[in-house]
Amino acid sequence: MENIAYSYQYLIYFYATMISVVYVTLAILGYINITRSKIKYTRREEDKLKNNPEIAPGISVIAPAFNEEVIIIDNVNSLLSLDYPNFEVIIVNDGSKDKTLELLINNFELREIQFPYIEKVRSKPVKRVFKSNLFKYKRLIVVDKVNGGTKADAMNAGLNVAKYNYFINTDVDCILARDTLTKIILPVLDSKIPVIAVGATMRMVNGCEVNEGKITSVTPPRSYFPLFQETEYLRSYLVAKLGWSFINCIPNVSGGFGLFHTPTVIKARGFDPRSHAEDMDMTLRMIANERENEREYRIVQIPDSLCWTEGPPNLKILARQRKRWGRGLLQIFVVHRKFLFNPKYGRTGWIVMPYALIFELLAPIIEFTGFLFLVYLMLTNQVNFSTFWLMLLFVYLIGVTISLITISYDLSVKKVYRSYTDYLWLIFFSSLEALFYHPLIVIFSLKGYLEFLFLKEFKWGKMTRQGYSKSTPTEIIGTTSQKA
Amino acid sequence: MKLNTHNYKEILTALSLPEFWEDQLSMNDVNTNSIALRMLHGIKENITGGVISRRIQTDNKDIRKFAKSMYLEIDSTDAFKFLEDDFDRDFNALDELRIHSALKKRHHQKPLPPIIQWVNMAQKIEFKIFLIKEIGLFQQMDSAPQLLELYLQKVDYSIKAQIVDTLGMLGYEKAVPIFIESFNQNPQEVKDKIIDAFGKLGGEQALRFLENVYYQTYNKETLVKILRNIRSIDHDGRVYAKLENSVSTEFEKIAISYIEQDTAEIYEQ
Repeated sequence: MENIAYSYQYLIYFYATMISVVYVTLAILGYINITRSKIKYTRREEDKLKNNPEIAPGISVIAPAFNEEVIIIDNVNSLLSLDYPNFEVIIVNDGSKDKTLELLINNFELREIQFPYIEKVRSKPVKRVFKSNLFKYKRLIVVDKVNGGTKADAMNAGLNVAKYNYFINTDVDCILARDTLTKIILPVLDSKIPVIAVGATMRMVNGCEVNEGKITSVTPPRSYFPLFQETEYLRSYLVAKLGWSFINCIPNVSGGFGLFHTPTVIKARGFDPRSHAEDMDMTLRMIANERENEREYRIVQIPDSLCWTEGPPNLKILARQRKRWGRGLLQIFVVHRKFLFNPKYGRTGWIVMPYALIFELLAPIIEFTGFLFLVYLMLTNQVNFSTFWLMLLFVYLIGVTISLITISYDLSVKKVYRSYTDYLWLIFFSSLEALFYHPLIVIFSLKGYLEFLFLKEFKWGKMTRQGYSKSTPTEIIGTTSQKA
Repeated sequence: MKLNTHNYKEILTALSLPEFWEDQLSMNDVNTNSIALRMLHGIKENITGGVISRRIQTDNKDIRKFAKSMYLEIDSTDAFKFLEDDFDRDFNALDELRIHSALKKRHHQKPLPPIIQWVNMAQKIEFKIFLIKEIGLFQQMDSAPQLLELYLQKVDYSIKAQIVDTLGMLGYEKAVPIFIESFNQNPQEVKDKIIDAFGKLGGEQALRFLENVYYQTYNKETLVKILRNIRSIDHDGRVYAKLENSVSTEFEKIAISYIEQDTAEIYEQ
């Protein structure tokens, strides 16, 4: 027993050291990427794209909607107001049972059209396709389909309708910055090697002021969970993904927001409706397809905050979200185990997938067993408290330092909050993350793993929308529902 | 808000800003050079190609390419010299955007010289394709016969596809019989471009050809493309009506109806 305890303590020591080294490395690479991006892409490049529509590539924005009557109109208005010369907006109504479709038809004066639907990737049947009678909504297409139960299925239907070579995969609860499309397409243009996907920073919309689908003022969320999640998101995008992007090793372009090369996604057979992490699954299948066919590719992350999404407002919804992510992560390693340590898949097989296995999938297990082990050591009086507090403080400070670095990176990209007090508020909460928020994430992730292993059927986590618009209900035509 | 250009120029001169940024451009730091180039690009007044030429041989590809596109925009002696030389070894789509924008500005001042001369000099396929596209965008009709000649030579299929596209943009009707003759010897990429070009070129011969291709096509995406192009050149609607009466599948019926709606799309304001 003594030997096991001794070895376990060493294991934890090396594990913590390794994760710190990896994060510091990613932070350095992320910083280089931010600096490069700031120098390379400015308003001038964006203006050139806008002023030369004849050579700006077309982009389809696809957003599936299932029972989204509270936010659908604001969101579609927001998407239609994107500042880019060549784009279309495809809303896929995934068999909503509420008034989502009715609202869309009434507010955008939609009419059913005959559409030559070609099933390039599999999805549940499409019932109808709508377009607007009004010129100002000419970019809008609404696809009404049989409910497929997953976002992946609805995305595939949207893909079958999309006409452009690039598409944005987003959620209907997301609000995009007006300059999203110019910013996200620039790295695609600026590469000799084909760029198959681009990700950007996502943050919480909770706390922002939104008027008619446009963000008029950005402040950190006022409720606890989205506030914790804000720093967590920033850390993931500005440190981890930007760092991985430096060595072309991004394993996952977020399902909430990302640009994809349409033919590459179609060649990889579209999104998988059976996946619990359809975004990572899609990214990995694209990588596999490119590598197996010996084609060069790049997946890029840009530092700009382009997408605002609603964070879980309470514990119940946070638990639902994190259990699904836990199930998804475990499923990824079951489905895509071929990547692990396989030279055929290059850095993805040798670096990023082993990293995700050891430091993401196994992390909740190691942290939980570590806690139990600590309790055992305490009960058996084997803890040297003078060292214990020192070690604990050290680990805590590393976590806080990474969060501080993240927030400083965010500020260096662009000051999005109105005042510096908002940043102090974010820093204060990030210092509490390890004590109050992280333990919950560990528990929910473990529950997700157990659900994946022992339950046969899962209910798809549905986010309960609070809505965020200032528009009054009378401005929305044809709804009897109350807006939050 | 309109800029008071007189005062603006006075301030630039009084503060010696162009000189300051010129000095910054000669520093040995990538970030400083990059900022200096952008500042000089913004100032433009009294900036000559000679100032920029300091950075056109630099190792940093972003600065080098930016400097070259800026040179193309502002130099008054030999602005087009980089177009003779494939522009840059790291040429990509962002450079296309920058060059196109610079050429557009030049074109507003004075018609551009024939772009075809650089097509003949270009070694890189991507750059050749870009220049051929520009011929169409700047409507350099005089280059059409040479492009058609190039089409008949043994060149890469993506170059052929771009030539077809450009000749379509230029409305060069003499290309129709040649495209018809070579249609089946080409891959789908070129065939698709020929179908689209015929939708711009028009004429009885092109219309009859599209009708024939329609009956031989199984690819659904190509079917929709052919229908759209027939619709745009079939002015009396005769061929379109014939197709409508002879549809054999539900998909074709829907596609015909879709194209009708789409091409006749009249929106309420």
